[in-house]
Amino acid sequence: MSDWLQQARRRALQYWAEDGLPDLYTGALLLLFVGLQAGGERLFPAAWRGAEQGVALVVLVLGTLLARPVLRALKQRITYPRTGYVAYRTPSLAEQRQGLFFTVGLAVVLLALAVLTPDWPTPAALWLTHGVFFAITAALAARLGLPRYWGYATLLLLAAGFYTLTWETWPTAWHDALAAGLPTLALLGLVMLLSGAWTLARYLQRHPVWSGEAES
Amino acid sequence: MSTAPLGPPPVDPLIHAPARLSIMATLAAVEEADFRYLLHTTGLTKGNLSAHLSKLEAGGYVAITKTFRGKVPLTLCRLTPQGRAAFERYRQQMMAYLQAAGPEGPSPDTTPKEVAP
Repeated sequence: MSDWLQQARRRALQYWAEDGLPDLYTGALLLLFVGLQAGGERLFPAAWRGAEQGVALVVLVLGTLLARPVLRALKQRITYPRTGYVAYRTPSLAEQRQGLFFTVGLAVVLLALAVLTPDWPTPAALWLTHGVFFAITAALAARLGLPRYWGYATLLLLAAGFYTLTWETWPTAWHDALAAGLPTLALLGLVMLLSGAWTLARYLQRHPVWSGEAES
Repeated sequence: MSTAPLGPPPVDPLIHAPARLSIMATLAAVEEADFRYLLHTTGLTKGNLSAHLSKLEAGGYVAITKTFRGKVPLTLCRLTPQGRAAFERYRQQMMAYLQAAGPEGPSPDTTPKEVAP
């Protein structure tokens, strides 16, 4: 009974990711973040040199804050006319407090990593950053119960293993980026983009637009 | 420790029917949802869903608002505070019943009986 009710609750959460739009958005955002960090030198004017990391971080934060309204606008055009509209419950105060603690904790960990990793480009630092990424993705996968999110989490572990095993073969100039997890984020972004596109294509194929027949 | 039988827990018949339980559980997880979402999630037919929603509305458990998005009719459904409370009560009763039944399953004299909501 409790399992069944849990499943009913989870079903509502899964609906948010059923169309693949969140994967597409997150994938694009991750690629943009890594692209700005890696290609910033060529993209920005000379006066902005050195500010690539800051700009990329601002883009990442803004993109995260805008995710909900942007996705909702997209869903209004794509998802709701096909499989229906749903408004999620406002989180309770306890849930909001929990979310705030989690976000602040995560920000502290990421800041600590940003400070530590440039001077600590070792496989240990690589595992630290990848561990954080894995924890976030696995928490999301456990909450949603969607296999493809477990796939994303597994990809992070596989990438960490691969880069550790091949650490010595990479040029030293790459060690900072590897420890910071940039190639892994780019790979994850690409995989999410492709997986999101495939999920969306399948969703559109399976759910034509509602004909607007009488409902009751 | 008391050895007196727990007895059958009262179960709300308006919620206890599988189709309505499915609707109530779906709506309990969200703020509101439209008819299409309920169709998509519960797997009921239009007629079936419509009939069960009408019963839940008549019982005061579900509030239904009919509106339009553009030219398309939109039927928004949400649990009323009474419906939310009834569903929570039902959930707790069933959990208590299942706990009392233990891993071997319910005995015939503890089978839940339907009572008026």
